Amino acid sequence: MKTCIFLSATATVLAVVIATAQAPSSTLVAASPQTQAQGQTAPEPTGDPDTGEELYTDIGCYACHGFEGQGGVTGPRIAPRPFPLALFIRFVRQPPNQMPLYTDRSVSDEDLGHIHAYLLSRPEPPAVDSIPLLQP
Amino acid sequence: MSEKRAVDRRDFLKGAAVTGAAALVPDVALGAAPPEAPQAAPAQGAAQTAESGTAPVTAREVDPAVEVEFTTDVPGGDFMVDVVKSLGFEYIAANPGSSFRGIHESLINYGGNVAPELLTCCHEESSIAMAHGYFKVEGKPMAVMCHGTVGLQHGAMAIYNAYCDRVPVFMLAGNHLDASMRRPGVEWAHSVQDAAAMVRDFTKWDDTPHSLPHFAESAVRAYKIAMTPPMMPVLITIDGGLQEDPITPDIASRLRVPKLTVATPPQGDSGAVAEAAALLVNAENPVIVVDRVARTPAGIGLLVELAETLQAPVIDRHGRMNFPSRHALNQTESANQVIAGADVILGLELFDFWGTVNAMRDALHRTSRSRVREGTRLISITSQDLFTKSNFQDFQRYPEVDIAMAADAEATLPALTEACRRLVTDDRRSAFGERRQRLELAHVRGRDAARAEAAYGWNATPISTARLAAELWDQIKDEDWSLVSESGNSSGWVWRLWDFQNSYHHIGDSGGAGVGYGAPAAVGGALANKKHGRISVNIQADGDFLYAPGVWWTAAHHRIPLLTVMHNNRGYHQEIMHIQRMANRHNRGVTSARLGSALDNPNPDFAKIAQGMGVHAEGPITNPSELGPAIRRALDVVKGGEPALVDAVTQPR
Repeated sequence: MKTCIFLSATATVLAVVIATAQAPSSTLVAASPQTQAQGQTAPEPTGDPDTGEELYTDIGCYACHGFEGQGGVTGPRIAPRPFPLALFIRFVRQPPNQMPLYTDRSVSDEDLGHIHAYLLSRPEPPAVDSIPLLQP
Repeated sequence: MSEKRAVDRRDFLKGAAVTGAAALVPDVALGAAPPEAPQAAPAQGAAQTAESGTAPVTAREVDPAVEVEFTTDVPGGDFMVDVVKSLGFEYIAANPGSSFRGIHESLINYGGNVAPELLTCCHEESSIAMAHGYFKVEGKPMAVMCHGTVGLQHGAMAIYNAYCDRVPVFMLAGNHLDASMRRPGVEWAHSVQDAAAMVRDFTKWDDTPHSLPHFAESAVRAYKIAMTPPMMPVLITIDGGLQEDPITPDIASRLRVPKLTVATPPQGDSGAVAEAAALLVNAENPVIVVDRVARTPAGIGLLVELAETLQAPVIDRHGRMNFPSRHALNQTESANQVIAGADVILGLELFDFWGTVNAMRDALHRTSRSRVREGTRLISITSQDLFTKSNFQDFQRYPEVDIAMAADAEATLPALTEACRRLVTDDRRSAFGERRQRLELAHVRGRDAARAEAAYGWNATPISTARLAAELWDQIKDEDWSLVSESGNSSGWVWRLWDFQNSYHHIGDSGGAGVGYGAPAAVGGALANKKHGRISVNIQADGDFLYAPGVWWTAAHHRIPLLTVMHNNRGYHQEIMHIQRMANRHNRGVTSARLGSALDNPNPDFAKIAQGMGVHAEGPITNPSELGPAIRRALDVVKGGEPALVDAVTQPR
């Protein structure tokens, strides 16, 4: 009839695996890959964003991270600034958190490059101060 | 009343005597034998047949004119209504069924269809889930009637949700015990030896009264048991004959409605309270984690008092409306970090204490780890420790705590707060003040982070769940509002963006996570809000909507104002994620996870379905800029006293 809700332990586990200095402030967004990647060298786009968009939906990334990679209760935000590609691939192959792993039998490194390019192509969000509905 | 009933009894006996003499007319003799010819009594006739070895004589009912003698203006169902009325129910929900036709008719024509008023439901799951939602706003149970067989089976899921959520529902289930009096065919299929058996594992108490005095006592007892923490559904099976037959003089002389005295909830032991207070006051990082603690509107204030006495952070699991979302001590945004840093954790009515202090990884190998540091002292106050059943495993994993008070948490809060106050020294007060400052800053940071996070995907199509929550909040924030369901799993944005303060601002969740709760619970909650003039708001999951959509007709029929905005992610999305996990684990078909869980091709048109039920509806809306105006139009309808729905196509979570 119904099963449990995934409770993401992402934040804490990620913080252990990928050492960064920034203390998380939210259970949903803390220590998300893109947050962790801040300060690192910007990754080079290696794939095609359009192909990546299709793959991103087809292999189910959207299910936990949202169609825009904006994240949610089931998976952290991963766009528009994902991990550098090498780290991104390593994370997908060996996720240290609740994320189901994707082996190279499920998705190739090349396809992960396309997905990575799609995530990089996502627009930056509007400034929060410019959104009347989000004012305190 | 007893005198009148005595007269009826005499009339009934007279009729019965006549009937006994004339009722059994052999088919073969019908028409040939004069109606007045006396026939053998059935027992005697059967004995004669056995002795003679001849074929049994088929009996049939006598001249229908004799049935007139069986009419009565005081059936047992009327007394049942007296009892039901004495318990103060406003409403009684039912999908009609012949096994309770007696009391159904009594409710209408004897009870006048007021207090309780009948709610016409299209499914028993709707009836019971409506009662579930109603209680969580109103704080008192709704009555429900259903068939003891097919109705209970339909309603079982909703009963289980209420049971898991520790919510009382008062159920009357019709049945026909006397096999010799059942109509052939359906009435046999709708009869059962022990109706309650199928739901006994997830109800608190049941009975099958054998007389009207027995019914009165059992009904009042059931109400008392249901309302004593931990609260749960109760069930009385009511026999068809008991409802329909006249009240006999000997029974009439014994009829009375017992006095109801609801039990006071149990407080924690005074020694344990003192020990807990000492731990909390002397802790450097005490944390209060709450789930179903605010049992009454007073619960919020009592919890605020304790938190402010200690200046301790509160983590809200949202099983009830426990703690103001914008209170500086509300640290739910940073729950994991706060719990990880705690040296004392007070758990109040926690559904899952083990899961609060441990994390389990749903990976190829399920592993768990402690979320708390070694030596953290754990205190539990919960009425769950007073009553636990075996079969269904909703009691969760065994929590290893240092102090376990088997008590009602809300009832214990005043004593605990007072015990803490007595122990606070100037040094501790100073430390508490510093802690408060830190927590205020953390709270502001958490809110700022939430607002910043909500901006991601703000203009996306499908609509982000953050945008949905923000658009809805913008329309209702100046109203007297009540969120009566959030079945959409919309990433908790309402908690991050809305200002929850009052007891009716939120009613928790289903308890058992059985899909199908959301829509009817929202309708039930909205019904409770109706007389208070509140704007009831429902964020409605698409999968949940489709379980028993007849509830929208019930909302329209009974003029229940309810503003519903769909969280329509086109699928049973939780299950999509589960199948994705399996495909990944099995290294195959990772592109096929939506099969069997997606709700598309064709897309259900929820607005059309709602319109067909008589509900104002718009959608599907995919452009986020169109959502606010649509909600505003729907709100105008709701303010006019009707339900309205906006179908928003959304991001998955």
